[in-house]
Amino acid sequence: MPFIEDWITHPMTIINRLHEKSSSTFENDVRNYFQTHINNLDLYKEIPSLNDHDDECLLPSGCLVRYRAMVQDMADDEIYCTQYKVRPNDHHQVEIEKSAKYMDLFVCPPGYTLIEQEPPRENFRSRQCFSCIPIPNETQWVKDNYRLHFGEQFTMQKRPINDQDNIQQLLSPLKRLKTTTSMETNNDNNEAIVKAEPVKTTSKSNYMVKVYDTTEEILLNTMVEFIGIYYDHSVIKADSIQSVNEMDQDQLPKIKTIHCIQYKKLSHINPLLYHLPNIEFNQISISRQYILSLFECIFPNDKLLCEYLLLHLISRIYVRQPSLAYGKLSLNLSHISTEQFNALEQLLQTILPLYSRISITVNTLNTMQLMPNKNVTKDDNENQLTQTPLQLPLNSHLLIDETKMECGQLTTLGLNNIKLLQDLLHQQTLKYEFHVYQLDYECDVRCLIISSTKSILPCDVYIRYQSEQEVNQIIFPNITKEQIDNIRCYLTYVGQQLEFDQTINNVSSDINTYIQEDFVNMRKQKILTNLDDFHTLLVLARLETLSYGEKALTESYWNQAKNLEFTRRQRMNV
Amino acid sequence: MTTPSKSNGTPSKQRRTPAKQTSGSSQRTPAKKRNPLTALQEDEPIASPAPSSVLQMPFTPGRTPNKNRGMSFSPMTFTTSPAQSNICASGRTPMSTPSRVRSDLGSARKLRLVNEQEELEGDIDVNTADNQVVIWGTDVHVNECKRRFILFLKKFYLNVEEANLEGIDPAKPYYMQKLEEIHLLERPFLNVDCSHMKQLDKILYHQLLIYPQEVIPIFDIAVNELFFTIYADDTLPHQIQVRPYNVDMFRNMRCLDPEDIDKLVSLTGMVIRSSLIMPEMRSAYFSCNTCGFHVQVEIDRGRIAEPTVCTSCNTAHSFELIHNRSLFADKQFIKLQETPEEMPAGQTPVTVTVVAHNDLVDAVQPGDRVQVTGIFRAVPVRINPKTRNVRSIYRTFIDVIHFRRQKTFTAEGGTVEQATNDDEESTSSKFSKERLAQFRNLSERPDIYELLSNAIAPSIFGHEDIKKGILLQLFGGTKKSFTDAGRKSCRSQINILLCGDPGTAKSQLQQYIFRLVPRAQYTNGKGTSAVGLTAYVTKDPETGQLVLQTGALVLADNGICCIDEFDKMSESARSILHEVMEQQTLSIAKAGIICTLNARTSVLAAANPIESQWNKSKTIIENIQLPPTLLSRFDLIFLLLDPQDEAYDRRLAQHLASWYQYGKEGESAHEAMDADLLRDYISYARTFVSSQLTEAAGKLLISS
Repeated sequence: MPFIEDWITHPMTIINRLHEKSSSTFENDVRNYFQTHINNLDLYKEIPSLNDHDDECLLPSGCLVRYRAMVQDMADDEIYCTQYKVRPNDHHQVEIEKSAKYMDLFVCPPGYTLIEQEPPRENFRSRQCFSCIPIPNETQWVKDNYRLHFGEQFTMQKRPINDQDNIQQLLSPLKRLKTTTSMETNNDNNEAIVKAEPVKTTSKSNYMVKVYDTTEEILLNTMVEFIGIYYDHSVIKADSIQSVNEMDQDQLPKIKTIHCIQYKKLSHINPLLYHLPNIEFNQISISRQYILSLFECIFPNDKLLCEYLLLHLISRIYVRQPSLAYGKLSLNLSHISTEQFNALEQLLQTILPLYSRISITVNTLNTMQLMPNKNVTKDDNENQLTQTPLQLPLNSHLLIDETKMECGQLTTLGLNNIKLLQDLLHQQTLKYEFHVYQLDYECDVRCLIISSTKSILPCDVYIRYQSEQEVNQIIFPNITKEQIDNIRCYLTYVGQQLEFDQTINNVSSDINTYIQEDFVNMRKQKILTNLDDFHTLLVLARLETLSYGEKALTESYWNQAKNLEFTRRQRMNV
Repeated sequence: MTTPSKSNGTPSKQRRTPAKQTSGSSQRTPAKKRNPLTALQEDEPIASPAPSSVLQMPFTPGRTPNKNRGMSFSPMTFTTSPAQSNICASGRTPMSTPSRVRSDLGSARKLRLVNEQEELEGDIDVNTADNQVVIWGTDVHVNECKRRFILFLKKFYLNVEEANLEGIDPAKPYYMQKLEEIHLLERPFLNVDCSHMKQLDKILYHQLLIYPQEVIPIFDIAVNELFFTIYADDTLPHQIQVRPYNVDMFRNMRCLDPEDIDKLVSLTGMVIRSSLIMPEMRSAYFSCNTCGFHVQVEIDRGRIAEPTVCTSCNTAHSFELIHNRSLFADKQFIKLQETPEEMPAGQTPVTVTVVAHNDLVDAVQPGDRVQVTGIFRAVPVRINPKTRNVRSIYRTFIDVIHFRRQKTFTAEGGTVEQATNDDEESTSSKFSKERLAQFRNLSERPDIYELLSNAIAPSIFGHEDIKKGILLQLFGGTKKSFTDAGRKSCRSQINILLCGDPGTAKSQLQQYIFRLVPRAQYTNGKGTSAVGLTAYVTKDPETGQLVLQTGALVLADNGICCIDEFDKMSESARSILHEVMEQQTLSIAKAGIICTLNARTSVLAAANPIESQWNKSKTIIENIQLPPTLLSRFDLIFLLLDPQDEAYDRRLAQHLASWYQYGKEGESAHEAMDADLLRDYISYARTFVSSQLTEAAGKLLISS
């Protein structure tokens, strides 16, 4: 390696060197060069990650960075000029052509002057610009684990990697709950959660990522890991109606730029799963047991609710039709105590990689803008999509807290917000406002509604918690870190499974005829009148099968799902 | 040969000669639009007394200002066009028509003309009679291009079908009729459909696409020559400007890339913002403080070079800008956003900045859906003089040449407003040729009826008759006018009521229709108030003015209004529907606003029976329990009943299970027709086909 030190701190020198060597194959050379480095895990770890540099970033401009982010908004494509020329000051007339890729400002080496000229049309290229934010609502353990597994070596030295330590850290919220029973601390805890709510409009961690030569489409709200060159000058916008003179340097939003060299779309952000590509089969059923036992600590004597909660957590949309989404299972729980609620929240934060919560009351609905909107009438500099709590990456979990809902009148904004939430629950689409029209975007957010009675929002499944005694104290069993990690892997892994048995489509298959017979019988007995209920049953059966790590629906899973659903209905009818 | 009055002559390399006066003796109208092009006429003899020069005051003898009827050009304006036509010598146009600088073509880059004869560039088989003037860097031969364009104007005929749509005579050349229109209306703009040009002359078309800023001025000259040969006595406000449109290269602004810079592009979008009108200096008027000598300097590459030394008295730095004698052109920035249909799923809309000049300023308002034809440009982000940084980013925008407002889904021909603006044209060209051919093929199929009805809501099982009914509703009928008989007209829309057991896909059908039809509204009867359906008056928070806000029924004018839970609708809201469903209007008398709005909607309502479940022992009327007056307004009433039959259930289960599994149909017996085609087919039929009842059919109706 001739320039091993350079490649992280001064990637541009390498790029320039490659360009000088052969400008025709330069693009391939750059790609190959960085590809080989990045594929080496040890070298990869050396790249500083912007996600770990939360505090005011001290990274030098022009260094290579990693950035795990969500595409929050897309700016218009940008046309840039690929080459520029510099001339030595002593007028020897040897013009040097330099590449202008991966930069916004032409760099002029000392002793040279820039030749300003109108470049020929062939030198124009376009690049895509994305406005990115760190993945919203990443839970703490995900961040910690990323740091642990992929963090820079030198930062990690400060923090001894101690398993024991980590368990303490992981379970600390649970432990705290274990020890506290008084209402005061609970309230404190509650407030802390509210404060820590993730909807931050932090601009410091926003970056404008400029991507070159994209072959595949990057969609809104996808999670991507970018590796590119970081520049600390603020974004230079090419397009502005106002004359450039009006753009005061100070008024520009301080959004930094990354010129992407390589990127990778992330289908999930569970760092644990990168080490274990496959989960053993018996591991799945053990994890399934564990997770149910954890749920049962919160909801003692209510196996039904726990089962539904599990199915809810692994639900995922697998097919979309206009106005319909198959595979989602939104859940509405009611009649649970504050302690249970808090414990559930802590637990979900510990086991899910993406978790967020909004609490809806008449007041918040009337004041909070839930629809992401792009205000184009304002000044150009602020022409950006405003993020709202509902703009979430795929497979997020959203807890909607409806327990504090009271009577009151909704304003137009409130009504729109309700409509928005209804669409989200019903079709898994979210409307975005683009000034002259609104557009529906597909999303996949698992919604869990906690309400005091049945929610005002439509949900696939509604369960009332049923228990004889009041639950005041929640004690989690002692579980090792390994087991928690297994649960985390299990949930992500099972949630990722989309491929499913195809035999159900086959008319002659046993299970298919069995289901058909069953359907006809149920119709006869008038226990299944609504077709939507049949749909719910099919989804439940599918999720039940998947939760056991199976890929083929069998009679037993079908019956299990049926039992589950009919027990639930019986309880609701009582 | 140069103009005698030119003070500083660089005859061979003409860049900008403000005082150049040319008149065509060989060319009839010395239409000079842009300065660079004066060069091409350089070699021609100057016949007229050339009055306008840098030194003289703007009045040219041959011009009487009052002849320019209604035009607000001050005499000063005339001087702006240094190359105005002075045709006294040729005697063809006694009244001059001033030319006007086209700022839409931009002055950022000046052209260089190359006379191949002079420069001896390349191998020239010089036709001595015809100068082979070529624009530098291009393959555009000026005279050849002119000839071709005139030929195109003279030779292009519309086919009968299109001509009927446009309401013109197919026997005459289309553009000659357009010129006649210019002659009559005195609107000196000729809109040229590039698809026409493509049909007739591909080479010219490609030249136009690639070198628009060179070729369009040539077109201007050509069309003016042609026009003034035919209508020699005409005076126009200014010379005719050619506005090409409908370039078939790009429909999507996402596709714009660096290769298109300086080319002619067409794209559609929605206007989201337009800036204030900005005056842009086209030509500065400097006057010397010492001797009173004045100079006009035209804009060059976006800058005006201030003369430092007075040529008359040799004083340095004595010039002063007199701005009320300088000339300005209007300029406006417009932001265009991608239309929802063109957007790929999951991406945010892109925007494009568009710059409108002169007449096109304020031609479109925010919210309009427009097709823009213009030249795509990229200019470097101007370097802030304070910083030393040079940026590699280029600002892109489009210089508009032609705006065309697109109309939305309109049904009856009678309601289409007469195109008062040339920029607004009928929807015929909304569909490509291939699409039209596809429509024709489809319409000739014997099973078209089944095909179309199957395409409606394919995910919903069965209900063929209902789908057919809805299909008929989508097409609508022919509007019959009874104005002679004293009645207004008879509605052409049909209303449908779906009534049936819960869970029989009524709402899903409605949702599907709502998504299919461009102007559809979906409301739920339960939560709808009468005002929400009709219209309401609100106070504008800013101005305090009363504003009429329209509700679902008015918004669905010429479309379909889907009302779910019709039975649960309040009585007052339902009574509103009486008027809408028969008279197709809505009368409002509220808070000082009294008006009648058009609400030509078809209503697709869904209701549950009175006891939620259909009671077989009761009659239909008892089951539905809607007032008979309202019921009579529904043309088709469908009952969606649960057949409660085993075989049906089994097939249903099969259907549902397969849908749930893969989202596609298990037994794909009939070929699927995609929703876009269906939508286009319907909108085409609604716009262009109005069926008539034949006598035989009428008799059959009576006898049955």
